[in-house]
Amino acid sequence: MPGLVSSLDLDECIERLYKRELLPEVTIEALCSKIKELLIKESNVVHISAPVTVVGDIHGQFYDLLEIFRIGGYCPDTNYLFLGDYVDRGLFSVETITLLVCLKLRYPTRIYLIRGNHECRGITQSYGFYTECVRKYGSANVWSYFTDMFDFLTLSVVIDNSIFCVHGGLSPTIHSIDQIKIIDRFREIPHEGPMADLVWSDPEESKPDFSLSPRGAGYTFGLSIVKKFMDRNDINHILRAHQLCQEGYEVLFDDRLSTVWSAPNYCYRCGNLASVLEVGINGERFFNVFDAAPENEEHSQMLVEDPNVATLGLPQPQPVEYFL
Amino acid sequence: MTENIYNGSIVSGTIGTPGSGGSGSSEASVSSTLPSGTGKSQPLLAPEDPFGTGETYSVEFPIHPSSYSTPGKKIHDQSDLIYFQQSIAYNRIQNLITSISQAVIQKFPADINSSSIHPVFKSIIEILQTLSKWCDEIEPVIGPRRFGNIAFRQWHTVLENRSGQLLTEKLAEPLAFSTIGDEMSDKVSAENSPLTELIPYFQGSFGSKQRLDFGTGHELSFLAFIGGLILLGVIDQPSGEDILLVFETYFEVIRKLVLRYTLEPAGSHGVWGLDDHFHLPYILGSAQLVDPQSNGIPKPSSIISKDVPTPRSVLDKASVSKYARTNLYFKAIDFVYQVKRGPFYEHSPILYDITGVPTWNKIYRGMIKMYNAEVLGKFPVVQHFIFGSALYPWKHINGNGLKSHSGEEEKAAPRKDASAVPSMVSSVMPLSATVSGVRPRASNAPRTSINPITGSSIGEPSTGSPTGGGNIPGPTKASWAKK
Repeated sequence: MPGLVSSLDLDECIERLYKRELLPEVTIEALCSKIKELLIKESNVVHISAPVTVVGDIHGQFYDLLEIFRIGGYCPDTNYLFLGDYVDRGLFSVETITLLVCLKLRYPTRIYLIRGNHECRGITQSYGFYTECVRKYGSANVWSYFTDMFDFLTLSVVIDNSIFCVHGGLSPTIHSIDQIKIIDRFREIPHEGPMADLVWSDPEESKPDFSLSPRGAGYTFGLSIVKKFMDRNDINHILRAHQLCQEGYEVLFDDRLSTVWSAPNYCYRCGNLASVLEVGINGERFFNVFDAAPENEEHSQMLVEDPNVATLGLPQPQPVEYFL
Repeated sequence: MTENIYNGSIVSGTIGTPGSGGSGSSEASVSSTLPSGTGKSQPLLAPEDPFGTGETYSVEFPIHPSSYSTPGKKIHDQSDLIYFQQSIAYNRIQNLITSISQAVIQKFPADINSSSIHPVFKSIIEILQTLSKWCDEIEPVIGPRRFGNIAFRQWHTVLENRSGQLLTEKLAEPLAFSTIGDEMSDKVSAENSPLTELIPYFQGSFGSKQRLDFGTGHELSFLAFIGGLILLGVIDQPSGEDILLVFETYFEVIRKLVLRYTLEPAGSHGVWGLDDHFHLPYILGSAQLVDPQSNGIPKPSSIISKDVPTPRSVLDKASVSKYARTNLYFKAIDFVYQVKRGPFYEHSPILYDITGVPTWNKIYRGMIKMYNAEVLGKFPVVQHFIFGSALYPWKHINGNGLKSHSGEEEKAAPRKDASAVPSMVSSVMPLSATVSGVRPRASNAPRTSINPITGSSIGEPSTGSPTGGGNIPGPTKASWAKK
């Protein structure tokens, strides 16, 4: 019955999701409804304690998410903080977000999910998640359930009162972390303002202050902004995702800010590494770097060798708009 | 001067409705409007309804390049798209795509050493080869970097500094020949040269210097450049062989830049887009394989020539390598195989699904429809397109000025008398009064000032990325972003 998901059901869902199975539409509806009840209770700034493993953008690269659990430990044995951008571009955004939703429902204090700029109706209509939902479920219902749920995701996390975590970066209208707490976040991400900036902004070494971003949303911010924000809020590090890094991570401003990127070989072609950041109980930070999961490649070899054999196991091509 | 369909009098086309699709019954329009095999001498008529949307118009817009102005941006927000679709520029672009793709049906690229290549195309190819040589000379910067290689900025600076002169050297004479010759000759001076409009399109064809990315917006800029030469009559009735060669030479330069400087796909939709960078090779390459005799009915396999690949051949790497030598579609697929890892149906599901389309005729038509919707119909892409006075004017197809988001109507040029001879230079200059440049809305003003790198007044073609911003598959750019 929609709305009622027992813990037993969740374990079964999680087990099926680890095998990359899609859950039925009614189950997605129930899961999204249930997680909203949970997320609505979270503050815009969630305070958590180390140890925790922090994960950057995933973008539907489901096999690489599994690789993260293999490398970093499975939930709930390892605590996780995800920094957003679970969907779009990759092939398995639905499976990725469904698994994370199930884990959050099952272990609500072991895993935290922050909102990224892609967790939003507008962006997902352009960058693939909408298309994927319609192809996998035959309608946009599942996309609606998920994007309605995205409105409830928190905007930031503070680890042990010392590490400020957000998807994008800082905002010229936010000086104190307390100012984040008063944002009405239960809505589509606006085009501008503090909520937009938190999910869209990027650090920029060459400009010390705030500048307009070439992305057309959010700002770039430099060293002097970072220093001021850290002093005022008594924190010692800013941790964010949002930008691809060739080496899987990047540390800027004299170790004051880190970018963590968790989608290796982004879009099957970038050849970049990925990482997760493990924060220890004394605040120590360790980037656990990894490459693309072997599953990403394993079917490809036979395609190369023998097209006749290979075509046997291939999915049926689906009708594409414009080519009907 | 010779009149032709490209610069000429009557153009029929369709106001494309993005995503409106078409019924299978319009398949026949591909074959019914084909040139009848007489080669160059046969004018190529645009089909009545090339995109199968059922809406047709017929409009005259002779090109009268008596006055040129530095092209600039006109599409400032989503709502300007509707004006764009009513513009002469839009319709020229659509007509151009139809015309050049129909010219390449059943054709192969010319041999680069062939003596029959049009001299102007030969010059363009030489310039492209020079650009490629600069790429060899400018080494990627070694050391830590987030993604795109900043040495590309150096390459792009050389492009900006030198390509204008190269184009002037190579094109001044043919341009003079094609546009001077009567009383208008005085008008074609250095200050008022077609190069004023041509060069920005060329320089906007090679990716974003700021964001270190490349996408279909840049590709569109090159199409507009080649189209400009055709509109001006510099290249009269280009052969399919020449068109294929010049575009493939261009695509090769881009592939080289992408690989050497790890340019990011601009505004990529990831696996849910057709291709990270390109669309035009898929139109031209599928057109090469269109069967003019077919009405879209798949032939029995027994009579399919062994040397014509099927859409399914895309899945066989050996076939891809083989056909890539002469076909632009397969060459594009070959590049996808080169840069992507993993199963084809996973990293390129759209291209994979297209292998299930029964005929190349249908693929060709679908690619054009998709281009209308996903490139010409997308604000993040075409917001960077630039409009001048002569080649791609921001003017309604009825000859009136067009509004843009600011609500400001461009000054309308006097409507040219419809009975006038559609020669480019022998009549009055209806376009000369076109306002160049449009005032940005006040609230946008700060946004326009953020690009000090290119900052030029020529419409900043070098930042003309489809959507992406900084990072890999183009860091996501806000769809509402305004420049």
